[in-house]
Amino acid sequence: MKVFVHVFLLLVCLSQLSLTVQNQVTLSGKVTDRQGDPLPLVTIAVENTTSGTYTDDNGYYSLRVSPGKHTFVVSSLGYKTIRTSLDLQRDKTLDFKLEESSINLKSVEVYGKTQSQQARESALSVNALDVKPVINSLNNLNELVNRTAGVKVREEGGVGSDFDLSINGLSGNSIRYFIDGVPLDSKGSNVTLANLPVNLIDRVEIYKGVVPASLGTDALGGAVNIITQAEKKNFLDASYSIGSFHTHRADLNAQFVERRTGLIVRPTVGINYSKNDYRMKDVQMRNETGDQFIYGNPKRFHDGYFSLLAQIEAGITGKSWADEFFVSASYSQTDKELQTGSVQTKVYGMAERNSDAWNLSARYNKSNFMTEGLTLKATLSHTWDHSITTDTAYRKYYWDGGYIVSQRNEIRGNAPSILHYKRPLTLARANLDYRLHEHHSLNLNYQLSRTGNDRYDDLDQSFEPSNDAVTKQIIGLTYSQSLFDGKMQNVFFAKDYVNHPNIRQTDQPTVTGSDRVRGSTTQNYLGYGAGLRYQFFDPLAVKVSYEHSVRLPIARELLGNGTTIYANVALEPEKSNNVNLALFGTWHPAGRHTLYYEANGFLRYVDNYIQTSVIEKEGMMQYVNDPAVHIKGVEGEVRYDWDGRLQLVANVSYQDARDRQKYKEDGKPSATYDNHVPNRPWLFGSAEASYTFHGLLQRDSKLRIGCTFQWVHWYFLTWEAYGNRDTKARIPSQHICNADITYSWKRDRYNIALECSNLFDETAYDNYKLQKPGRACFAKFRIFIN
Amino acid sequence: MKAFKFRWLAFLVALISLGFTACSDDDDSKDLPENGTESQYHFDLFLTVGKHGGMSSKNTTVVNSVDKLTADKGIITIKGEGTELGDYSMESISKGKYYYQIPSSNDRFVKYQIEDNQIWEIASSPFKANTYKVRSYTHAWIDDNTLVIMAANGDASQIIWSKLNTDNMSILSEGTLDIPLPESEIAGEETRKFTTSGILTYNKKAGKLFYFYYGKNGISGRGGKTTTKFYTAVLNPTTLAVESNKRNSLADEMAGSAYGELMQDCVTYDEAGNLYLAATIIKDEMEEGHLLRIKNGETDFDTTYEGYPNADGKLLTIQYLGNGKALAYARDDASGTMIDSYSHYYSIIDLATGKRERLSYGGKELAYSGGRFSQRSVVFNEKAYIGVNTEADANAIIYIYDTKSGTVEKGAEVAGEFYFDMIRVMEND
Repeated sequence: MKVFVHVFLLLVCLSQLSLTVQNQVTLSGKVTDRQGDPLPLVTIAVENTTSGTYTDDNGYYSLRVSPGKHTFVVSSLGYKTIRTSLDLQRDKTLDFKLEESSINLKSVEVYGKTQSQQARESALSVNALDVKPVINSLNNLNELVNRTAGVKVREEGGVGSDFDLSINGLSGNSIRYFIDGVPLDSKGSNVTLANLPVNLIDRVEIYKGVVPASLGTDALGGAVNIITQAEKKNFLDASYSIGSFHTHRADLNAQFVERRTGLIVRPTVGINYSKNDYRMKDVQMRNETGDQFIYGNPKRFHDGYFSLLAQIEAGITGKSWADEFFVSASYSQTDKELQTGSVQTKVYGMAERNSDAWNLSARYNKSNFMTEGLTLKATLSHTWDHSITTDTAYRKYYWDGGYIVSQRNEIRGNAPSILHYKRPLTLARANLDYRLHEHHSLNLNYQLSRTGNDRYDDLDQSFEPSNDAVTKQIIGLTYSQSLFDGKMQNVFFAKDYVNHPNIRQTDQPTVTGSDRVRGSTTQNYLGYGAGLRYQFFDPLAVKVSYEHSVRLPIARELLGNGTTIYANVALEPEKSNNVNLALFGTWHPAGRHTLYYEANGFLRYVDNYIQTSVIEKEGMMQYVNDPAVHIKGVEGEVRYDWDGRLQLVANVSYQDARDRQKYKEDGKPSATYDNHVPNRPWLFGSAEASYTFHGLLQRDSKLRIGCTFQWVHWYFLTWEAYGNRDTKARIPSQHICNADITYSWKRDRYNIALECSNLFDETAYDNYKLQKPGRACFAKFRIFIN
Repeated sequence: MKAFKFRWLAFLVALISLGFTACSDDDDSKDLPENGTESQYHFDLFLTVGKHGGMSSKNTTVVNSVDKLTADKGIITIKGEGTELGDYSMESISKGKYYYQIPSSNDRFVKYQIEDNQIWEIASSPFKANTYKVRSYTHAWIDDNTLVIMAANGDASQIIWSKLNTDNMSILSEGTLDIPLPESEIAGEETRKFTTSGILTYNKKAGKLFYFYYGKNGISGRGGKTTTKFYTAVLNPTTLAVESNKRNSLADEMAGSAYGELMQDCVTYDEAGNLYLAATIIKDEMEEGHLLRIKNGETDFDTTYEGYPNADGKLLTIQYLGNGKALAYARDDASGTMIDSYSHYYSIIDLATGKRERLSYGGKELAYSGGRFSQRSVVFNEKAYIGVNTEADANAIIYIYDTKSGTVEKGAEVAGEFYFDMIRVMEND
């Protein structure tokens, strides 16, 4: 908390400092046509500079410039441009009236690039997904992300189920999640891609292997950065969705701008609820007398899920002392009934997990901070995160929904337990971006995070409480170049990872390594990388990127769990050398036809992999460093667009992951060396098609029909070389079709979408013996007012 | 050709007759195979890929069924062959053709067979009153088709039991042992729990069940402590009524307190029905092995007996070889106590005198073997098949000890890249 107060005070001081350094005046007013009707989206630019703005829906604009003489250019397509020179020494209001232009424009094709497309074409290996085009039918982000090349989301069940996202073969703690560049954990550990309100999101950037230093993280295999909507006007975006298995979703996202003071308020609420009572196919359940097993298709009966995220953000933009200053408060809650253990043969009927988190945060952005060309972005956040796993029932449930009174609790088979995890998280981030020159810039990022880990049990007296903390500091420096008229873009970066565990354990030094690492220590690790992109011409560009990435151990890995996992305070971070090589391009074979393609090859050489190992004492585990895996892979994606009406997307990914552990724990050669790593999808793809009809039934309406197909090749649960191949456990192939139809009218103000997922009711598994839902239908209503 | 056939037939007959003669003396009540013609039996080798199998690991254990373990078998591997255990745990009960266990679903008693590279579920029965969890129970056969399962309950404050008819796995009866939590012998500590499984064994000669257990303070982490010496409860095999319940003063803990004898054998019997139990005294951080005895007809340990004197470490398994001898697997604590320390060795014990000899081959003692949690030895047809995994040998080597002559021959090898965890003898279908 002290750190929080200190950094906050520093921020306040900095903002005051900027007040004294900056001295700007404001030109504001309204732009109308000859009839006096307000003109939106009119550009007001300062000639020969990059400064400018555009009018809002009501024709208003506001532009800050340094005092002195400037020439302002007011322009809009179809109107005559106005040029006017002003000597501004103080704030001024000036209205403009534009006359319609009589000049006939030549017919030209203009191909704009969305921000997502621009991100895809950056020097790093990025896949960017636009949420807007599918927002009306989209129910959660995982659906969208899972259709991306090289990315696989493995869900354990229905709505709210645990999932594991892998990017180019690396998953779990190797992947980090962000929302607008801030770790998503700050909203609470229960907030995930699966329950984040989709209305809030503009796009998603998926960094594969090479993660920009500006994100300030210790991701080993990649990062997912969710970019939220940044509208400059008032709006209200609300949706409600109802579907199979008693599923309901409601999202609200809005912005209100108080024009007089410039105060902006952004409330966001997202609610998910589902009973997840889908049918399980062909599972064992008891017969009527309860003394024999029979096969049946019972409904899930204890898989309810509720999540809530409520956030309010308030702040200002465009002030002399801050381009943006927002404070926000959020509350998230998740209540989840647990139906099964790690496989569906372990059936629960009473156990549940509840989490809630409060977050307070502030962010501050300022361009030309202290000096011309320097931009500061700062964030400060504290989260109070609390999870409870309740396992108190002495019952043994079966798939028939019945139970017997048992002598042990459901999950661990021990005494009743109400286990608490309190994980307070403090984050501070400062990012300085300095434009050295039109083509060169430097970026310095500093991030500090402190995670506590306070564990105790209300009932189980055998549980030893523990309270540990790990502090990480990550400093990243990036140098970016744009050469040859933007054809070549290079980025070079270095990261310093500082790990600061506070070790209080001194017992069992030979097991925990506490004789080698004592008390409060600080360890430094260096990461570095580079990215290069060269565009020969629009249809052909090449990019290559590399990162030596590091992931610091988390508290549980380093400090154990106090019961079944010993500490290993000498644990080294995971390290990986990640390489990407891609060819991509955009081709316009004829008017209104656009084809984008990308082919990517990658290598991931992971070392010091952190994984569990059974140690001498019965039932005890410990995280240890092992030589890990080498992953090689290729993936390709093709996108075709005709006139914004027909969209076709297809991608395929292949990954070859091999174990690199040469020796077993007893020192002899390991059987798994150079074998394919089991239980991971290695060949998968997806395809999408959508067509949009314009002006159907009424003006300004759209009808979009879409379908998606996802395919995953079957894979072995265990090492493929060992055991009889025909009888080995495998996760079967998946062929899942989804279809949706969306109707929008009044310029997307009103929207109705119908979606059918798993259209052909396939029995689907992402994990061994964890059946996913069959066919499900959803209807979504969305209203967008601005 | 005829001569060859005749010799082969004669050899088979000799083998069969040998088997029958050996069978006559074996009155052991453990789930050992009936001695018979070797062709009616096979060996199941449990090999694990990556790391050790069993315990709470999620590693792949593959069972390779082989007809013999003699040297001409060559190197045994599981490359492209063998049966994955899947949901079944390596820790299991075996008798005749079948295995029995509580699988990881923790919801049933199941009987299955491993055949044709597959696991075939023969019978199963949902829990009715008492519930158990995978690999955390102990067992005893009362007769060929009556199996008793026993374990501490969830908070380990009671010992529960279930008696099963293994023909169809139906539950014959269930109950709770009438024994209290033993009083703590450590100042400042309270006994809150029983041992997870304890050890249950049936002395067929005596017609009694013996249950060994001790008390713990109930802390599952670093502060976990044993609070009592171990106790012996003698039970009526029909009703499971407690007939006596005595604290022992000879050793601190018996072996196998958590997994029973699902993996490692820690109780054995001689022809006279004397019960031998592997146990431990904890001295200055060292676990000193002891072999205790309960004479047939007695309900408590023979205080004059010491079957494993001057131990240099923990006594892990004990198996009766016949003729008053037993095979012991123990650890030399000074050479390492980690799970894969090369510090484990086999000895032949004279049960009457406690005299023991390290297992030797070619006049040389076999080097230390790795593998704390393993049961790589089995006694069958007057031979003990003993898997030894030394640091120097690339593969684990199965030595065949002749219980009659005391000679040792080198047998098949098991590919060293796997973890060789267990060996069982099973009857063919």
